[in-house]
Amino acid sequence: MRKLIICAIAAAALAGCAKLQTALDEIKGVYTYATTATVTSGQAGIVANAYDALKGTAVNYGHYCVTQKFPQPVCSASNRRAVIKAIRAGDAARAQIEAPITAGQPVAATVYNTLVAAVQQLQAAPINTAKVQ
Amino acid sequence: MASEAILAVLAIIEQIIPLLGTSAATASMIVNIINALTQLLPFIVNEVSTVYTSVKNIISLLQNSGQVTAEQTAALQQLDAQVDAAWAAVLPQIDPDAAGGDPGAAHAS
Repeated sequence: MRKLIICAIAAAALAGCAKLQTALDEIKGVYTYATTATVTSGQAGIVANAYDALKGTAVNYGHYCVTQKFPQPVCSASNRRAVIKAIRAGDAARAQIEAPITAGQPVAATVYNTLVAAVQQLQAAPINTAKVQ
Repeated sequence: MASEAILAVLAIIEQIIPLLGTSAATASMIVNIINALTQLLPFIVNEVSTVYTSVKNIISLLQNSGQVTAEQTAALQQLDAQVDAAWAAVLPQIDPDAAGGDPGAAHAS
């Protein structure tokens, strides 16, 4: 009986750990690809908000590159190309995701995953290193 | 200079929105803010790379305030789309694969 109780407590603790890990991932900005056909509007909303914030930073990055005359290596062609590619893909996915989020409907995983990829590309890009003067 | 003036106005609007409350005056205040944004739009478009984040924040704050009507929501969505379109028009200025060649190439050497 005692072992059973210990097992139950351990199982509950492990489940709690999984939820905690998910919450920590969200705080750290780690967004994972969906493996199901759809995701909930709540999950999509979190990634959509992250994309909106990153896009704001990307706009600042573009402004920085132009006003500072493309300092290297931050504003190198490859870095700018990566940012633009992520924004174009992200904008298209973000536009498609808006209506289901507003309606509380499930979001197609392909669109969601496109937005996650855009978020990850923007997180990997040097947009946060640019300081607008 | 123009961008600094617009940013100052947008900063004041951003500070006002959390204070709007739920009184009868709130509705007319939201209308006034939307009208102000609409009138500022030509300047916002000109300085979009500087004021983009502020405008998007204001639109987002108003949309999430729970006080906007369907008509106001539509107006805000239209403003949002116009700001995004303005930014999309600025993108070629940093696009290394732009039709006119890499705008950063002249500065790279």
